[in-house]
Formats: sequence, structure tokens, C-alpha cells
Amino acid sequence: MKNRILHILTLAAALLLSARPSMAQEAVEIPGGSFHSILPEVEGKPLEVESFYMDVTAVTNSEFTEFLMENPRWRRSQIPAAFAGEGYLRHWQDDLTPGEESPADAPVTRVSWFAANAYCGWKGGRLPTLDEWEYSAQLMEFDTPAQSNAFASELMGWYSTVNTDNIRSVGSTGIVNKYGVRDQFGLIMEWVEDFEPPMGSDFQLNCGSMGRMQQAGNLYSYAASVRYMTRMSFTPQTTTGMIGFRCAYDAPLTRNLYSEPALREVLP
Amino acid sequence: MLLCSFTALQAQSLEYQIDGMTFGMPEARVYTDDYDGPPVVGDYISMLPNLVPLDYEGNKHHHIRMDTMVQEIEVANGVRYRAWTFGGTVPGPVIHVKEGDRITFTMTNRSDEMVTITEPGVASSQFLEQTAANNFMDAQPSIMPMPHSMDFHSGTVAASDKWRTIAPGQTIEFDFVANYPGTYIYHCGTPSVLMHTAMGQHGVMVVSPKDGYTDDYEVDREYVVVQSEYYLRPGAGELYQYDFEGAQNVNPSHVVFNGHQSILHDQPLKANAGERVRIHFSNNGPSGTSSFHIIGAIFDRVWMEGHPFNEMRGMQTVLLGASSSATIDFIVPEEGSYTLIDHEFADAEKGATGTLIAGPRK
Repeated sequence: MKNRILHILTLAAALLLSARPSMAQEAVEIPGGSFHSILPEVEGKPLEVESFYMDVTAVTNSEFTEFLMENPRWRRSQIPAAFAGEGYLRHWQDDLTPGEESPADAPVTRVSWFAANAYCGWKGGRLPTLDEWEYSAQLMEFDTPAQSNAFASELMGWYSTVNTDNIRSVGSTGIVNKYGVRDQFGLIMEWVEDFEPPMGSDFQLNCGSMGRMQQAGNLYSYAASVRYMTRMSFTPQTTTGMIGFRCAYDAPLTRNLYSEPALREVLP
Repeated sequence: MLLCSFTALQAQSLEYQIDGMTFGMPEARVYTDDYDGPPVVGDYISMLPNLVPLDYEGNKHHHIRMDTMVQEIEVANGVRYRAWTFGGTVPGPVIHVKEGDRITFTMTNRSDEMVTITEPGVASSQFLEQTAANNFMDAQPSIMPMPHSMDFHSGTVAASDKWRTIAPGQTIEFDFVANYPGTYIYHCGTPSVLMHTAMGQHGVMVVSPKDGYTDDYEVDREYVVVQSEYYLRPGAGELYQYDFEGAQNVNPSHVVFNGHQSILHDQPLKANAGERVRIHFSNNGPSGTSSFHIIGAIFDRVWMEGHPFNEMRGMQTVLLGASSSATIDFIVPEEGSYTLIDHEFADAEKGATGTLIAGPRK
């Protein structure tokens, strides 16, 4: 039932789009591979992820402004309540001005899943799937498990100190995966296409499941479960001061297709 | 979590009774509205160490609101952090009800909103009047959007329904009956539950027994004292932040009474020689034990978990695990100063002490 509602709303949301963008955002290819999800249902079985492209950085305030200029119906004053909660871009000065507290090169936040999804569609891409996002996030290089754990510990500290009043520029965290994707941690949390992962109906994230989520000796899983938990609490209308997004692309056709100026004219 | 809000849950709406207690509450409601009123609403809600006296006969149906939001607070001299709170303080407000009372509880997750606790709204709560008059922790509103939930140990319900996690901006509303007398903690149950409670999301509800604790005497004073741990380390700026390793290894940076290392010294409990004092003492953890003692006093009567059937006498310390409590009566022997202490001295020297000042016998 829920999935059907989501599907219908997504289709409706797509109809709100008007123009297509003139250029694709910088993205890099993430070669396919596998990784271990923290979800207990798939524990022990590595998840396969196919190659895809993903934006190097999160979508910025200035990039989102560009989207809003071309797609008026996603502006704060016009977006239907079904597609975003009351907090949608509430920190912006007005419809098209991020304002002093939202620097042009800082990631856009207070955007709903619908808006993020629409933006990525406009860019000729889509939101990354949860598995793609998490796979990319795990593609960091550490020399030792101790270093990895130290990083995860810092990450837990970050989850306890997120400062939505002072979100820094994209690329500023110094955290980068081995293919050049930046800031998957330390800046904001990000929407993914399927932010509620499929799970057995009898499974809920609670304190009893936390232990099951922790792979032995790996603090990273622990930090990841905070992220899963936060995403799972969202609805597609949720807008908070710490959630933004980046886009993914089915490499490389889709991205180029939609960025062709000639095709822009014929697409709806 | 979200799955639940879309999937029809098994209806829980058929009330029934066992041993005079009421079970079978209606399904919780999760919704979004534009509430921007006072974050704590209710007639019998106070700031530690106070307890609002129950001035009614029989049972009552309470309508209680306690929102969850972020406040930057001081927990020791020079140590401030952005706490995840219920009601704006750590621990959260003291809720007082009577055994058998029904509670309709409402909580909005306002972690993505600046909420002030120093401006009591009209007909809100004594708690907000007290925090406005005595902002000891120097609480300043802040924003850190996170999913949260509420778990009342005083409630007997399906946690999968009533203690559901809600996103920033959402509100949850549910009913329960305080079937058992005692002092019960409440806390956030959202994973990591260690992190959420250590970040400050806990408090107590005192469920007074309908027939009291004893017919032998009346107490002269009644207080609530909560012990808890902080796991903090210096952060990037001036503020402290959550120390994940400290929390995992149960190595607290501070162990405190009523949320602050010195609050119970700067604002000591008051009594007079010869008086009977009752303390509802709760160890809210999240992970440590407490061996509560008062230097110079012997606990005349102790009711473990605050249940009147669990009476003990002549105790020097009361050992409490995380989320355990005791209701403690003692006679203040002489004029002078008495130290409340966790006799696990490592905890005491991290802050788990307080003072009771006794005036002359009246």
C-alpha cells in the first residue's frame, strides 16, 4: 500500500517538471563491486552493486536555485503540501534566494525526498539507491582496522554535534572515497532513492536489533546503523536542516542523453 | 518504524482488567501538525528536585505534553554540550501521577526547531515556570534534527506501537494507565539507545501509591533525585561532544545528580532537624550502577522501585542498577550539612554528590 502511494506521488511529481538542465553535474564512475550491508537480514551475504556514476559533491544551494528558476512549481511558495513538509527551504530568504545563512557552495538542506528526486530527474539522473550510496561510502581506504574504527568513532561524535546553523561548503570535510566522492560523512545526511530498506515485517530497528547490526569489532557498522535509523524515520515529505542529497546516474547514457540541448526541446 | 505507520497494526483498543489494573490501550497516533506552543504542558510536572503534590481524590485522566528538542546546556563548570532533551533539561521534567491514573501523552519531535524553555506559556506547566525562574543549566535552544521516541517504564503497553520512533516534525500521541506505583524512568528508545540516553533523553515519572507508603507517619519533605552519567569529550569548538568510546566502555566523564555536577550543592535540599524526608531516587544510567548513601543518616525505610510492598528498613546504602529506583525515608538527625553520595567513589568523584542543609529542630 505504502509503495503504491509513493509510486503515484512520484509520477505526479514528475509531471511538475518543466525544463531540463543544460549541463550535467560533475560525477565520477563507481565501479561495480560488493559490500556488506549492516542489515541483519543480509548479514554474511555481500550485496552486489553494479557500476554507476555519482556526483562528487552534494547539490549546493546555487545549483538548487538554478533548478527552481527553471521549475517554478518546486519553489517554496508553490510546492504542494503532498510533496514537502512545512519546513521546505524555510531557512531561505525567499523563493529563489538562499540567504546569508545558506552560502552558495554549501549543500542545500530542508528539501523533501520528492524535491530531491525531481532535481535528479531534471539533471538526467536519479537519486542513488541506498545500497549504491552505502557502497560508495564504504570505499574509503584505511591502512588498519584501528584507523577505520577511529574514523567511525569520530563519525559517532559528528552525529552528536551536527550544526545546521553552520553547514560548510561542499568538499570541505576532507573525507573522500577512493574514486573521489566527497563528504558522504561530516556535512549532511543525504536522501537515497529507497530510504526505507526492505525488511521483514517483523523486523524493526530498536535497541534489541542494534547488537545484531554490529559486525564484530567494526564500529563503522554501528555508526552506519544511526544513519539507517535516521533515514528510516523519514517520510518522503520530511525536510530537516541536516538532510540534502546528491544524484546518481546510470552510466553513461542517461546523463548524456538528457544533457543534449537538442533533446531538451522534445522532452516533456 | 515508518512501516508501522502505514501498516494497520493489530487493534489494541479492547480494554480489559487483571487484578484491578487496566490493559489494552488504543493504537498510538502519529501525525504532523503546526504546534508551536509550550513544550511542556500538564498540571503535575515540575523541575527536579521538586514534586508537585497530588491535590485530587481518586484517579485522574492526565493530558501531558512533553516535546523533545535540543538545548545547549551546562553540566559542570565550563562544560557545555548540545543535549538531546525531553522538555529542555537533563534529566527531563518530573511527572507526578497516582497509581491507576490514565495518561494521554503527546510528544512532538521538535529537534529541528528552536524551542525556548525560559518563557512559560499560558496554562502550561509548573516545570516551565521553574526553568524560567531558575535556568541553572543556562539552557539555550539549538537544532539537531534526529529521530526520537518515548519509552515510559511506568507504562504497560506494546512498545512496538506506543514507543515508536518519530521523525523531526512528527507528533506521537498515546494512552497508558500507570498500573504500578513507583518511580519509573522514561527515556528515548531510538537506536542507538545508548547514545540517545547518554545525550540526555531521560527523566522520571513518580507514580504515587493510591494508599500511600505507610500509615505510621507523614513526611515533612518530599524530593526527587536522579543520578545519571554523561559521556563527553572536548569537541572542535568550545562545546563538548558525545564520547562514543567512553560510552561503549562505560567510562563516564561526569556522573551527576539532577543533571549537573554542582546543582545539588549550589541549590541544596532543605530540611530541619527531626524531620522525616522522603527522596524518590532513580538511577537513570544509562549504564552505571549507584550505591546511594547519605553521610550521617540511615535510611529508616526504603521501598525498592518505590512500590509500597517492597519495604526494607535500616539501610546504609541502596544499590540500584541502571533504570532502577527506590523511595527512601530518613530522619534528619541534627542541624547541619549532609552529603548525598553515590558510595561508588569513582562515581562520587566524577560528581555524584549533593547536599542537604538541615536547620535547627522546630
